[in-house]
Amino acid sequence: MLLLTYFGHSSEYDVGFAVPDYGVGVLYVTRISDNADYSATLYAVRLHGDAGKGRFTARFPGIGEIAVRFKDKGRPGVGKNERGCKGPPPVREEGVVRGAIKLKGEGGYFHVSRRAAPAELQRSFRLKCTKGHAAYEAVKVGSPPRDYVAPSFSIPVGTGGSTSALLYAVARTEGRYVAVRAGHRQNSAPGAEVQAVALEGDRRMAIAHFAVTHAGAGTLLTSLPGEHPAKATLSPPAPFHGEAEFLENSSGSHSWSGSLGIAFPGFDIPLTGHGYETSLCVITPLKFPEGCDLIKPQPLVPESPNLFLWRPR
Amino acid sequence: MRVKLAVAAISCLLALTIGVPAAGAAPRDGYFLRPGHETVIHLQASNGYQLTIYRWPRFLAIEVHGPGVETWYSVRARKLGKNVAQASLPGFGAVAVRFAPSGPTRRLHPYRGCEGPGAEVQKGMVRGRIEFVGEGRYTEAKVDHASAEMISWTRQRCRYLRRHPRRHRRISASFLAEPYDGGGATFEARRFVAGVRPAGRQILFESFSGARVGRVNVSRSVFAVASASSFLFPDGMKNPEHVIFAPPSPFSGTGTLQRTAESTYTWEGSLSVKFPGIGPAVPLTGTQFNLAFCALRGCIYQYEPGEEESSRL
Repeated sequence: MLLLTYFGHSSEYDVGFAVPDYGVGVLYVTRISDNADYSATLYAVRLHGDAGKGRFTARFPGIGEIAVRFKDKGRPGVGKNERGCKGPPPVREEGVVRGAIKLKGEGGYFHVSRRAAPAELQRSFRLKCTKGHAAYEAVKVGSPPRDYVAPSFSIPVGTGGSTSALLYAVARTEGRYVAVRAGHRQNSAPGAEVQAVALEGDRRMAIAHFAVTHAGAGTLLTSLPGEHPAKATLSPPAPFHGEAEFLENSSGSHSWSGSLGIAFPGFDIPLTGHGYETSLCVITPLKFPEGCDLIKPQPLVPESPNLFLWRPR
Repeated sequence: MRVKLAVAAISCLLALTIGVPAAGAAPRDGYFLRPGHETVIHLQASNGYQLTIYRWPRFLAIEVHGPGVETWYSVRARKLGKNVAQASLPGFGAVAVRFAPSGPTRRLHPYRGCEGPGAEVQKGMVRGRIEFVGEGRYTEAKVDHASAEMISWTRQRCRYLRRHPRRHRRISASFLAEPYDGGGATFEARRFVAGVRPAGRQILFESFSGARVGRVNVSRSVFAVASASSFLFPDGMKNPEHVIFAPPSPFSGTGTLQRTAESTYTWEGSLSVKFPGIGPAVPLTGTQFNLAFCALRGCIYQYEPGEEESSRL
């Protein structure tokens, strides 16, 4: 079952809610700009009530609460199964959720208060599929809330092309997993794509913050392939601030220092300092046509959130 | 030999213009070559240049060739009798001749990749008027007769020729700089594997420029060969992205390809080329060039900003 609902636009953010399986609800707050820069915060909690019947409550400590019931409008639409699969076809119902929706982001960066919102309920049923045709599940049904905001860690890949310069910094600090990744895609103009993620939570709620910016010249400057000491400076634009430097030492170790940080909605995180593991890859495509992304093991970072972006037609 | 090369080149050109796409019983990866004929006229011009005039049913082209130089001047022509070649090239000259055969015909080998008899060649003379003056009078010719051949072929069923893989292995590195806007001139350098060619001819440099002068399409190309020191990796294979090109005349100066801290590339230097009869030397470096460089295991590309996703090179 998948329930999608849209609460509207607040400040610069789109606010929506999804129920990806019967026990978990995910609140997503996103902002996407014209040049594909985006930031998102996802909050995942266990649901109370009977989500299977479309009636549930989701409590987000410090954020608010959603207590609603799904009401369909009109006849449900019947879809088609994936090719190679047999069983009852999926059903889609358009409708509304009614009840109490009161949410306020940290520091008030978004604010929603309403009694109803458009929604869509998608039901799919057990299928029998020939090998290779079953749909891929990013998260297994029954997984804890954390898995819905931090999808399964996978080999990081750039956005549509190999990178010739790639910088990572990852840390576990104060109960958070924080990572920043900056890469220059081969054959592209000066600049880099810079991503940051912060994962945190407790048994009540899991939170993930994401930010991606496509930054211009001067963002990521590195030494040349094979040059020693290897070094890099990273100075991306907002929502990042400050600058960081990676420097290889004579002993082969390296330092990661500077004032680099990121302003996530409601709080700010330093991206340098104690506890960060870092790696720098600078290669020439003439020797490594596959690029940096597959050169060597990198600190595993979820590249993008598992967004359930939906708006009513 | 010259006739064979000309016929092979022209048949490929004609296939693109008058060849009929494969249909019916034609090969799936082939085409039909319609029956046709062409007249090829040879004469000596001033300053060591030679002229070869090609006459097809609706086109006439004058090829001026000399040591390291080849320039084509082509115009549309009226469709006249088979034995008549007549066209005006405003600003350059005119051709008005009639072909008179002499001696027996001979048959060439069948075209590569085609099924059908080889072309028939009839030697003879053309009489009438041929006048040509290149830009700045770099060469001139004025005659009332010249030796010529009439080449005729019947309908041919041909397949597209595949690039011979062995030829790629002969080239160990290649470079191409092409102006964004199609103006100026391109620069190309190819480094052959050691031993494939004499040491003094291991590097092949070429430059090409096209223009339209009134009704006349002018395509200019120059080339030069040199030893390996003219295609230099100053840092060796430790940094194969740093290359210096120093071709001999008609080129002058040097061009340097180098990677920057942004992981993009610069193409700088004093490299230029002088085409016969054309004013000052044409610059071959700068920021307005698409670049492609292949060596070792891969290639690097750099396109005009905004064109990164195209595959122009």
